[in-house]
Parts: sequence; structure tokens; C-alpha cells
Amino acid sequence: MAAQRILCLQTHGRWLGFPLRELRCLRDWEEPHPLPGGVEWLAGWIPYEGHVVPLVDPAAFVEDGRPPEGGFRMVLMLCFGGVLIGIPGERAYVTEGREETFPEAQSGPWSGMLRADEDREVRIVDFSLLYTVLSVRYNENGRNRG
Amino acid sequence: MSTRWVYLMPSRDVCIAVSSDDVHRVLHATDKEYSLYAPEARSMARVLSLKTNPDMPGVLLVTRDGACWHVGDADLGAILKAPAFLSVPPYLLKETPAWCRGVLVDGENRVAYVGDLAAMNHLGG
Repeated sequence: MAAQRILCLQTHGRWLGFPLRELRCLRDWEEPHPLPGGVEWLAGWIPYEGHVVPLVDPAAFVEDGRPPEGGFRMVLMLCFGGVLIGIPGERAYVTEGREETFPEAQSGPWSGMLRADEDREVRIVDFSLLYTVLSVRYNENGRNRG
Repeated sequence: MSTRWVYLMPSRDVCIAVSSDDVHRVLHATDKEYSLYAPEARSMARVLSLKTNPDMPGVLLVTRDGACWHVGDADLGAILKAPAFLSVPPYLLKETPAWCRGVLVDGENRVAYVGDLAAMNHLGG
């Protein structure tokens, strides 16, 4: 498999990898608004470019994680299938590597992993699996929305 | 024609906007009909799992379809300045029908949730 550029985000005690093509921007952390009656995985929402963008509680899909000691510092804004979501995180950087399979891939919405700097294990997020876990409705053919 | 909003505060942290077209009356404790409607009123805070604030005045909202809601406070003034309407995807809400149609956000990041009173009637709590 060819090397690919990945944005690595540390969140909930793990490093997650996101293909750059899905990335909209990184924003400084701001306390999200609550949504009364919101689904379990919703950490809140923020307004962004005329949309209500849900922030995903990383605990909803990162197993055995732990909340950040110093709180979140940023939000990764992603768009897949025309649907925007935000993932809160602590640190982020871009790296390049080859995706590998790994035994725990079935434990979450991962397409694989890569070994990044300092032998860091980065789990690559599979968006279609993530959105399925979260029951987010998206249009696989409609990437021009959002 | 732009919508005229009635702003409800079922708790201190959450503001809900409903169209004035859906509102029949807003009753304060000093209104003589208050005690007639109060026994039938449902708590909007409880239905939406919000923290109630006993120090709020306690206002009754009587809707056009005859429902009666107990809310902490209500305001007919322009709380938000030139707000934009953003829709809320229904899949972000646990229960259907969706009680929230969208949100109003103004330039100071103040927010009011646009409530669907008919949908709220179907929620438990």
C-alpha cells in the first residue's frame, strides 16, 4: 500500500489518524453548546459556516481511553459524504506512512494503523464505519454538501 | 414575513424560541387564570431533562393546541440580535419527532433552540 499523508490527533489517550482529504480545518477549542435531548455520543455542537456541527465525544468510539488531563485544546473539523463533524483533541500533527492491518482493528471504526514518529501507534479512522457507529446519515455520492 | 419569537427559559442555561403563532397565552403567577392552568401544566425542563431552577419566576405557556407548559421564565422581547437560523439534523436527537427544529444564533454566539411544541407533547418525562 502506498504511503499516505495523515493528520494525527491525540484524543482520549490515543492517537487517531485522519486522511487529509476529509479535513476541513483545525479550530481552537471553544466550549460547545449543549443540545438537550441529544444522542449519547454528542459532546455538544458549534456553529460553523452556517451549520450546526456536532462534536463527537471520543469516548463513544475510542476504547479504553481516558479524558484529557488538561482538557481539549482543539477541534478537528471533518467532512465526509457532505456531513460535517468535529472531533475534540489535545495535539495534532501531519505525518506520512503506510497503513497496516492490526489485530484490534475490529474493536472500533478503524481501517488500519500506521507506525508514526517514535513508533507511535496511530489508528486510522474509517469514516463510513465511524458514521455507521454514530448513526450519522450521509450521502456517499453527495460530497458537495456541508 | 419574519417570525416573531417567544423566548422560553425552562432552565437558566437553555433558551427555547417558539413561534408566537403557536402561543395562545403566557401566564405569570400574578395572573388570575394562573391557578386554573397550573395543575395541568407539564414541566418543559423535565421533559427535556434540563436542570430546573426553583428561583426562576415560573411562567405558564398555553399553546394554540391547548397544551400547557410550565417554564422558568418567558420573554417576548428581542433577546437575540439579528439571529441566523441553522437547522439541526434530526439524527442528533434521541427521540422522534424531533422537538428541536433548529437553532437561532446571533453574532455574540448566543443561542436559542427553536422548539416544536407539538413534537414536545409526544416526549415522555
